[in-house]
Amino acid sequence: MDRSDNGRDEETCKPDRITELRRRIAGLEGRLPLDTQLGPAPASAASWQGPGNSQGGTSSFTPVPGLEQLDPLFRTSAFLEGGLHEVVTPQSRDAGALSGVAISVIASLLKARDGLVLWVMDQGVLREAGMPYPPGLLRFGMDPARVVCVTARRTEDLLWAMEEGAQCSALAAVVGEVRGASKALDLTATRRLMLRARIGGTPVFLLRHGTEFEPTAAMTRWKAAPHASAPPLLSGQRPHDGLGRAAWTVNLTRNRDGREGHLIVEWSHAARKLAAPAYSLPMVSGTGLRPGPEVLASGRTASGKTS
Amino acid sequence: MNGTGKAFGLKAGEPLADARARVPHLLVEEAAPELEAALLGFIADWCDRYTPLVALDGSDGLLLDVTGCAHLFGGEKALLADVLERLEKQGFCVSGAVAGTPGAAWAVARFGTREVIEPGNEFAALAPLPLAGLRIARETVQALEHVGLTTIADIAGRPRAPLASRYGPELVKLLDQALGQQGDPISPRFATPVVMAERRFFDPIGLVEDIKAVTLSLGRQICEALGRRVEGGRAFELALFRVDGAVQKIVVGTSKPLRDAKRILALFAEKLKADESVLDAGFGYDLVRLAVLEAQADAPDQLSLVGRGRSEAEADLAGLIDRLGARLGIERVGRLLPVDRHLPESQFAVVPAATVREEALSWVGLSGPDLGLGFSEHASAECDRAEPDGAWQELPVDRPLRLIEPAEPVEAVAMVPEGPPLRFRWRRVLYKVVRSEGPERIAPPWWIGASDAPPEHRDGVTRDYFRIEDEDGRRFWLYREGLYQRETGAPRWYLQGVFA
Repeated sequence: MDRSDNGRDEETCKPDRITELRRRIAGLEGRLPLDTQLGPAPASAASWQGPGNSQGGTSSFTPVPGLEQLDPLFRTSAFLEGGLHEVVTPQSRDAGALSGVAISVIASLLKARDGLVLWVMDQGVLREAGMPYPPGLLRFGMDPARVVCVTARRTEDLLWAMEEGAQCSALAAVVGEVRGASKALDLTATRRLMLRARIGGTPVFLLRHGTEFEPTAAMTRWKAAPHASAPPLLSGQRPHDGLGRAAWTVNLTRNRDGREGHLIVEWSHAARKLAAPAYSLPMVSGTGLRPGPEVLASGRTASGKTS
Repeated sequence: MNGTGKAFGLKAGEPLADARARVPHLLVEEAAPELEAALLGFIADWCDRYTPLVALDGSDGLLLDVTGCAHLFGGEKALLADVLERLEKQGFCVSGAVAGTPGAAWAVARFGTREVIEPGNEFAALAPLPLAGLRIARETVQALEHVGLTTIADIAGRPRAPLASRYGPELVKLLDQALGQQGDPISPRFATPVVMAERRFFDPIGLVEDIKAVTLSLGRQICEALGRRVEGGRAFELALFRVDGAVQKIVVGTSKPLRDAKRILALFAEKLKADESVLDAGFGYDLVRLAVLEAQADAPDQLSLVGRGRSEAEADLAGLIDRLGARLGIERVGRLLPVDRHLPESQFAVVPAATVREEALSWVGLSGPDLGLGFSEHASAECDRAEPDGAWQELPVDRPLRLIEPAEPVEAVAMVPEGPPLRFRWRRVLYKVVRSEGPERIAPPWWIGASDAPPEHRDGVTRDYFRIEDEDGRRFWLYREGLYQRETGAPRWYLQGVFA
């Protein structure tokens, strides 16, 4: 076969092949439901489809109590389904913000799901950021009795434990904490975790201290940073008047199931929910309004940064 | 000293110079009691192949209780011959005997000929042996020799009372024990396994797959035995006896009673996967034994039509905890246990998940008001009603989300000695305090915290905790150790926790 033949062949089957390849990639990345992965489909199927849409194209949404603030960013109830979510912070000393964001989500999730949480930590996290403190968890509305905590010597062990946990039906969530970049925790490892979580139906959270740009196959990636707990001091106030609610700047830098966004959230201790900061306007427009899938899809292509 | 040395007329306890003078080509090695004890331990491990009841006997002997085991090796005579022959092949200089009492076996092994003493013949066998064969102290032997009593026969026929009053009751007791007139329990090195199964190989095996296959079939045997006892195993031991005498033991524990050969095998497989070096086949194994070290009653579950999902999930969780524990180590898989203490760092304990009882883990209700966890109607109603900003102040988030243990010392500057810090340096970074709350004073319990205790004694010093926020919004938990001028002249600061 000479070159021109080859070229003509490619020319004729180009649209089909590209569609097919796209579908295959989407299948590998777990973006399509398994049963429709390899069957024939119209070209439009290459456009984005949410997970769990196996019954036609209607998106089902069950809000998680306490996380209403995050709802506008998602088109499906991402946290209730199996999937890998990453919370990262570039600096180890921001472990508080990272834990705050993660634990507020997990604590809310635990009220909606039965079972325990498997919490795996590596030695670096234990040394630099310390243990999750049970009385503190209790004040966040999370029962420490539901935590099984595992310390792993090596990252390989940590990943193995997380994968085992993701397959266990008795767990409500799996949390893994690592510090710094690790050779073992690469794109392949996150893809494996994502698949296990998807198959097991367990939400898996990967908390990464001191990294920001590692490649990942996770469904979402949240970058957490601390935020002042109260408005700047007015002239009449004294500096030691006390702290406000815990607040964080959250940057959703990756979201397969909705759009990216940047928002400031507070943990409302009394209501046990994430709330908008009391003193400023929400950074994400459309709170409380649920746009249709087509609006979201178009908003996503336009990079989704509305402020 | 070996037989050749004895042939030259040497004796133990002789000065070395004299011995060298008589036998110039004498080889001398310095005694190493620890190494000898370790070697004896290895030999004892090896002897486990004959009976699980192996006891160390002094620094140079082993006692094997072969009751009920001898027929497996073709009788007591064949057993004794097999033990001695195999040990001699390994290069040891051994002597041994089988008898109805440990005392008689001890005496014959050391002072008699290699033989099997039939029950009832103890007296005849012991009678011609020297008194040292009774395991009595050297001084007693010398004292008896002074009066012309040299063999066991000499004292066995004598009245007991004068012997006991003159040489102590120990002599009579040991004599009775040797003759079987008084009980003499031996104390084995390890507890007897509850159930065990073993397989011997004519041709040694060494492949991991083979070992797994054998473990599975042994597992089936012990599970059957456990099933008859209505028990499940909590700790299993796989002992691999290598051809060259080394014995490798792998122990796994479980969180729930287990009676499933496949899952037992899976636990051992995890252990092997985690550390390949556990197994060093060398020239292969000729005996594999699986034993249940600990068992617990485990009645079969009553199958129910409604609650089935729950018990399956429970079994799933137990399996997960076992697998994690087998690979990572049981102590690395923990649950958080509440501890009723005053100091923040001792208010919880991480206990192995495999050992903890679910009822012990009740955190809710410990910390004052019920915090409305879970899905109770009361809690959700309150959530709806509560004005977030109002109720939040009644229940402050006064404990950090992460605890750094041990607390890290920081260099802090405060405006007044008793006041909150203005600036502090933690891990070489300077933080400026913008907001703070405190102090929350946590004093040690009165029975520890005597005011005259030295300041180094950390438990004995009052702590003033501050919750602070820096310019960027990071929230930390700091404390000042010691009351200024009452407990210490220069209070030190520590960072103990990180708030959300």
